[in-house]
Amino acid sequence: MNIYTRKPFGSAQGRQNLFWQKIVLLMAVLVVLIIFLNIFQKQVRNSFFYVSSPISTIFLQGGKGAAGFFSSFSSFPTLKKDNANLATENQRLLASLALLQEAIKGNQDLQSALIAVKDNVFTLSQARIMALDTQNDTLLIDKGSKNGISENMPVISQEKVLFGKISKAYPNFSEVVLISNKKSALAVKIQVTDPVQTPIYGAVKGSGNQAVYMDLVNSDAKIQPGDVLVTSAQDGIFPKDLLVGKVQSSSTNDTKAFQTAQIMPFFNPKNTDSVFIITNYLKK
Amino acid sequence: MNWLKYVIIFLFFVVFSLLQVSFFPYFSIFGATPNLVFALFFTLLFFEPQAVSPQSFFTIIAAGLLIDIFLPLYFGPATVTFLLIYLFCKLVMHIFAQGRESHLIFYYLCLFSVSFLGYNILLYATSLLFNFEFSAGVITAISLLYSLPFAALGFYAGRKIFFHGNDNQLKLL
Repeated sequence: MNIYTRKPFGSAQGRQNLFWQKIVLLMAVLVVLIIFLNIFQKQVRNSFFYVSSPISTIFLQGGKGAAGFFSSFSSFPTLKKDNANLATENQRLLASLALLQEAIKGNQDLQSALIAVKDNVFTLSQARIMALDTQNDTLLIDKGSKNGISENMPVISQEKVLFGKISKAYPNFSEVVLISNKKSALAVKIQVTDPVQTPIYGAVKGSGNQAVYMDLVNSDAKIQPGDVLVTSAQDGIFPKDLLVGKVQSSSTNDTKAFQTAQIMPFFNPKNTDSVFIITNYLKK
Repeated sequence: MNWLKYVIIFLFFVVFSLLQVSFFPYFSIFGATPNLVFALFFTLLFFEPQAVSPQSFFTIIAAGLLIDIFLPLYFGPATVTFLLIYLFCKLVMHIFAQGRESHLIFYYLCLFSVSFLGYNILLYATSLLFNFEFSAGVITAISLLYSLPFAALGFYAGRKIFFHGNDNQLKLL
């Protein structure tokens, strides 16, 4: 008896055999395809982003315009309150500015301060945001390795607000991991205007959904709501004095050696068209 | 003109994936955006006449590829996840083949929700395995609620396009 006799396809067993044959074939083709895609993954991703970038730009502009239109309605009731808050903050900033100007005037070592400022002049490469993943806190920008972009380069805004760093560079595009990504951590300090005051150091960690918190702050340190956080350059990835966020509230726990603080980050990818990549920052 | 069907399906997937990453982030709710690619994938698999056809194979690859492209990882996790979700849905549709016609939208949305959660759990497990960021938890629940209206739209569009009251619809083979 021939045990390999085929069951007719019309029968139930025949149909079942055909079903499993198709499944096995499907899986085999999938495996081959996945291997192929992974061998050429940079080229595949880059080509897709390149071809789709005009449509992405249209959707981004459309999304931003539509969101702005709707938010103008939703924010109308709070406009008066927001305006009052901004006026108060403006006054506080003007007072800080006056203090800073006084400090600079009184600084005997002005020459060294100027050299320090000069050192902070970065070579920047401007890039447009192509896609935004709010769930995983990543961005896609339209500059890549062909433009001199490489992994771990800091990404900032025009106002020196830190966004994150390059996580992957394709020939024409790059992925940016935002500082709010759950795997992100960077060294920061609280900006002080009084030169006598000792800076408070800590680490800003991402908690997802464009939110960050400050950790590893000495429990004795006095953190005030409204304190401004800047990068401290201790991690060797980000240059110092890039704006990170503002303290909203702090919490101490007797059982823990460090205190934490809730931070309102300054970056807002939804309101930003372009970012800048610092291409000449050398790790020291 | 069979090839045209595949071109149209692929173009739909491309447009939906770009809408997902370029348009809907501006309308995110607590960081969650609707998963349009998953909604389209599910609609196509729900209304396809056969269990394993070139179209189903193409749908899995197109949906998986376009999700994988935006994941910070190798190609494959989303494609394999879509394949598993596909097999799961076909099994459920085979088991509950009888008596679903009267509550088709309810049945569709329930299966969509279960598949959506399964999809996110599988991708979250992959993210732990390969150490990349994939948000899950409350954000998944919000994303599901956000995706349901689009899935319902997909249902009515799919029913209009594919469903003709044919007995052969939705059968395993």
